[in-house]
Amino acid sequence: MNWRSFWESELMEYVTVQLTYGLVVGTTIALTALGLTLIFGVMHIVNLSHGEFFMIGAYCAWAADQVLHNFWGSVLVAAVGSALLGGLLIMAFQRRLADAGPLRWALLTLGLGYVLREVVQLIFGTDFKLIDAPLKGTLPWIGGIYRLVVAGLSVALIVFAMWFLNRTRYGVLIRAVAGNREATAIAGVSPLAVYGWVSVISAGLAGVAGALMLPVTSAYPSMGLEIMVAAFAVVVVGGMGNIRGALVASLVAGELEALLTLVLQPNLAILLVMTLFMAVLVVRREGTLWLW
Amino acid sequence: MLELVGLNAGYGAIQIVWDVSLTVRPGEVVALVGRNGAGKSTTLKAIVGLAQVFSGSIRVGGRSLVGRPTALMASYGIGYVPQERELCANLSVEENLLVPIYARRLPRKRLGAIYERFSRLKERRNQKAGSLSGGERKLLAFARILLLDPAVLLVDEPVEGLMPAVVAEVGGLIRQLCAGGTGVLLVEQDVGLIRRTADRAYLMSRGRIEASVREIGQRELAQFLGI
Repeated sequence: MNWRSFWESELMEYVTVQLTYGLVVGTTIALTALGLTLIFGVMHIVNLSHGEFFMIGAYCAWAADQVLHNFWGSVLVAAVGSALLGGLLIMAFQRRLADAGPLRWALLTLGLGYVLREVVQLIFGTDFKLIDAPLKGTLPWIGGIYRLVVAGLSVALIVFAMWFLNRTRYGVLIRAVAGNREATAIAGVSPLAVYGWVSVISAGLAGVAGALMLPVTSAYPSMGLEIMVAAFAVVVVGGMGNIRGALVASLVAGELEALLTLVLQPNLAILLVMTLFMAVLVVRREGTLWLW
Repeated sequence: MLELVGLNAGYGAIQIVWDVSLTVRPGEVVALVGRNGAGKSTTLKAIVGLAQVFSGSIRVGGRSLVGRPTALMASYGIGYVPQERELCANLSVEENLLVPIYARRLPRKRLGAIYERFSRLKERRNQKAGSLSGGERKLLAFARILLLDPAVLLVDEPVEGLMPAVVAEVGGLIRQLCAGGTGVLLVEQDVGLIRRTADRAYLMSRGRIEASVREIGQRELAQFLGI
C-alpha cells in the first residue's frame, strides 16, 4: 500500500474518527481536571469526591430530560444542580475543617464520594441510563456530529474558564487567594467567599462534562470514579495546581487512549496510558511542571 | 484611635503576648521595639485576626476587633503590611493593586493616583510581583494598602534587608501618612528609622510591654535591642 492509498483507506478514516473521539475524551477529562486543579490550587484540598459531580451531572441531565424532553435544557439543569450541590457540600466541610491537614481532607472527600455514589445507586439503581444524542448523523473522517459538538463545547468552556480566571475581577481575586491567602484577606477579600465560588465552579464544570457525555457513555454509578482516576492522573502529571499542564495532559491522555483502542481492548488502552503517566511521575517527581 | 487593653494572644495553646496595652492616636507614629521573639509581630497579627486572642480588648474608633475575620479589617480602617509574604507573587504588579480595588469596590481611578506616587510600580505594572526586588516589593505592599486609605496602619519591619535609599523612602512614606492623619504602629529594629519616624515607642520584651518612652534616645534603644 503506497502513502496515497493508505491516506484514502478505511483504516485512515478509522484513525481520524478515533482522533475525534480522543478529543472528546480528552476535553471531558480536561473539564473535570480543571475543577480538580482549581480546588487544589486555591483551597489546597485534594478533592477525591470531585469525579462524583461528573456522575451527578450525568444523572441530573438524564432525570431532567425525562421531565423536560429537552437535552440542552437538561445540561443546564445538570450544571446548576451539580454546582450547587458541590458548592454546598465542600463549603459545609470547609467551615468545620478550615485548617484541617490534607490527609483529613483526602479521607473526608473519599468518604463523601462513596456516600454520593451509594445514594445515586439507591435512587437510580445500577442499570445504565442512556438518552439519544440530540444531534444525529455522522461526518466522513470525523464520526458522530454530536461528538464533535461535545468537543467544541468543552473547548469553548475551557477557554471561557481561562478567560474568566485571567481577565475578570473574580478571576483576579481567585488567583490572589491561590497565591497568598493572608495578603489577600488583608486587602479585604474573604477567602471563604472565594472558596465558595471555586467549589461551585469546579463542581459545575464536572457536572457539565458528565451531562455532555451522557449520550456518549450513558450514566452509571461508577462513571465518576473512572473519570476521577483520569483527571487525578492528568492533574498530577500536569503539575499540581497548574491549569495549563492539566489541560495538555488531558488531551494527551484522551488521544493516546483513543489511538491505543485501535489495537488494544479499551481497558488495556486505559491501563497503558495510566502506566505511562506513572512512568512520567517516576522519572520526574514534579510531573511535567517544568515544561510550563 | 487604636487601643489595646490587657491583650493576651498567641497560636493554639501557646501564649506569646502577655497583658499588652497600648494606644495609637490619629497622626502619630508609634514604634513597638524589641528583640526577635519579643512578641511584636504576634501583637500585630492578633490585631488583624491572624493570631488568636485569648483575652483583652482591641478597639479601633471604639469598635471591637476581637473575633472579626481578617478580611473585615480593611472595612474597619486597619491596614497591615506584614514582614514577609506581603504580596501575591503569582500576580502582576497591577493585579496586586487591583485586589483591594476589586475587593472593596473602589473606583479604578485610584490606581492612577498610586502610579503617580510610585512611578517605579507603573514601569513594572505588567511584571510578576514575585520577580520584583526587595525594595520594590515593599513599596508595592505599601501601595496596595494605601489604596484602602487606612485610619490605622500596622507595619512589621518594613526595611529589613533593604538598601539605605529604600529605607529613607519608606521612612518618608510613613511620615507622609502620619501627616495625613493616619496612625501608624511600627514594629522595627532599625534604630535610625525609629528615631527618624516614630513619635514615641513601647519597649517590648518576652511578650510584655516593659516601658513606654516619649523621648527615643539612640543609646537607650540600641542597648534595649542589644545592638
